[in-house]
Amino acid sequence: MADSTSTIDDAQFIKDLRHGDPSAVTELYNTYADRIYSLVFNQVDRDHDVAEDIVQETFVAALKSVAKFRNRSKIYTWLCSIANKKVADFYRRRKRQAKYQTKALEPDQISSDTLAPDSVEPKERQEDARQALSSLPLHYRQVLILKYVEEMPVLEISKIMERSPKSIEGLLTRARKELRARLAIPSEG
Amino acid sequence: MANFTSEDEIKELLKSVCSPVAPSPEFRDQLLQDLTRGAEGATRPRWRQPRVLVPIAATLISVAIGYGIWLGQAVEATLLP
Repeated sequence: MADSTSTIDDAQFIKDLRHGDPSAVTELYNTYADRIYSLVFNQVDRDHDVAEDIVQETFVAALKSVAKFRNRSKIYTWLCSIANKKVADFYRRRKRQAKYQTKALEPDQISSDTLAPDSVEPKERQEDARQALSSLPLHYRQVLILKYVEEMPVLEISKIMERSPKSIEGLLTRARKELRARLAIPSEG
Repeated sequence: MANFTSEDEIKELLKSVCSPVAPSPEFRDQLLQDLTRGAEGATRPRWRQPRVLVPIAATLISVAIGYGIWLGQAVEATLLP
């Protein structure tokens, strides 16, 4: 199996992928499936079933649109962009189908007297943090995960989220502020 | 104790919350199988896909047969006194 942190960005590989070479498809999958799965899983409240569906949709869409891939970004960036769109589609669909009532997704239901990090055990604090992250609007969650979990530079995030780097900086500031507020932590500045 | 005022603290918090997770082996294998099976059809150029290729081939064969018949008749006509 390929190293999950490696990247494959050479032109020949893309060419093979466009021609439907099964070994290229396998390489793409083995290199990126776990990373994409993790990325999606953390955006959908750690729901394995939903993550599996979205990862499947992501790879199917990627293979369908590989002919349009112009090597302007890294393959991983391109896959992240597709995955992020699929996550957004999922939430749109879910919202449309039923005015769902998932506790984790309802910001208003997060306890306003959330304990400050000083007074709770690490595990409990982690749970609070997880809940706070889940309660954020999707674009805040996505930008925070891409920046701090995936450790991507702003420029790359801007390609994934199809916004200008400046807009991403602003989004990050607002997302951090909102996360702190939901963790009941005094904001910076 | 962390107050998450610095970027490093936020990073540490989010990394602990969003730890890497792998899909189940069953899902992994099944999806890989589906993708490799479907890849050729999905990434093939449009003109090479069966529903396009078959009518094109049928048309070309019909034209070739028609031309053969026409040529046969034309040659026959020129050979006749």
